[in-house]
Amino acid sequence: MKDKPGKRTRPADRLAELVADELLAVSGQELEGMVREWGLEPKEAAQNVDAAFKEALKRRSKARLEEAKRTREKEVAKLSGGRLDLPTDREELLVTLKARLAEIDSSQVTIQHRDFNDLTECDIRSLIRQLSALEKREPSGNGNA
Amino acid sequence: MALLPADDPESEQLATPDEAMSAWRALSQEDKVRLGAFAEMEARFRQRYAPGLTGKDLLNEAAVRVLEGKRNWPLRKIAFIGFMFGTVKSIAGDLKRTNEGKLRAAALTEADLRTGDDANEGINPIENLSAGLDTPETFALAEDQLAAIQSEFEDDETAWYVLECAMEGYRPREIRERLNLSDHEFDAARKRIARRIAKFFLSH
Repeated sequence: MKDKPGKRTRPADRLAELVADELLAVSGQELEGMVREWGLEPKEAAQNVDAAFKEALKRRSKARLEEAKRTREKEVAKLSGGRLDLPTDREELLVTLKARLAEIDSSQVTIQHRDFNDLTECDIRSLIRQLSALEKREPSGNGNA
Repeated sequence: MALLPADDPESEQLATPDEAMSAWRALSQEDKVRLGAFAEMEARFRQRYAPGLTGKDLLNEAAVRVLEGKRNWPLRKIAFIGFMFGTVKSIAGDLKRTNEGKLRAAALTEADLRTGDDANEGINPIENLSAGLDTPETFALAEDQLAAIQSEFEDDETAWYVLECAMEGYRPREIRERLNLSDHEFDAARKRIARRIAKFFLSH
């Protein structure tokens, strides 16, 4: 038998382990009673766990979406062959977009019917860049914008 | 070191965040209750240097780290509930290092060196509790807290000795051997400790 533990530990950690072992050992009403002794309702304790994971999932989805947007922007910029001098004003951006659309053979581009007024500045810039990229390619059928 | 093939049961297989997410969804209601309660308990233990910390805070941070792949579940080695307990405990334990203004790293290093030099002496629980606290005031507070916890068990000798051994770093099996307790006696003492500590932290 060892006279002393081999690894330095912290009392708070050991207290936590003792109580954790007890939590894992009990079930049913005994578990509920123990949880209430900590000033928590069992249902609330479970809801806190679900809420934490749901929030983390939402955050992960948002991060993935933003990453996908950044990747798309980079690829479009690459395709369009460098910087485009675009207006900074939203109304002017819309004018530029509509002008570009008018220049393109409508059989080559399919645009989902939408009210352009719903587009953000970022969306408009992205569409203009995509159209520029299409212009540099040889026409090979329908593209979506 | 030779790498084991992926299908070897001894190889460490880490779950992906998606697998961890599935494991969360598969948790029983009771396991969620256990985890939620454990996080709350950890938060109560850490109020000294993280005042206002809640179980929800710890759970939120644990879930984020798991789903972002910063904490990986070794699914062959431990059940998901055990992994989540460990993750919450680890985050709570790291608070000393990450809390702004605390000089935990420097103080712990000094205390560790002192323990290494006195290799034949037992670890003083008060020194243990105050390890990482960097002012005389916080040392006094920790001593006060330990004394208060002690007083909860004045009428329960077995529980007190189990608690003392635990706080000195002994594992359950070592404690049973050291105190010559049966499994049943140890489990019963642990139960009493868990309940009284809950009452202590609720009222302090």
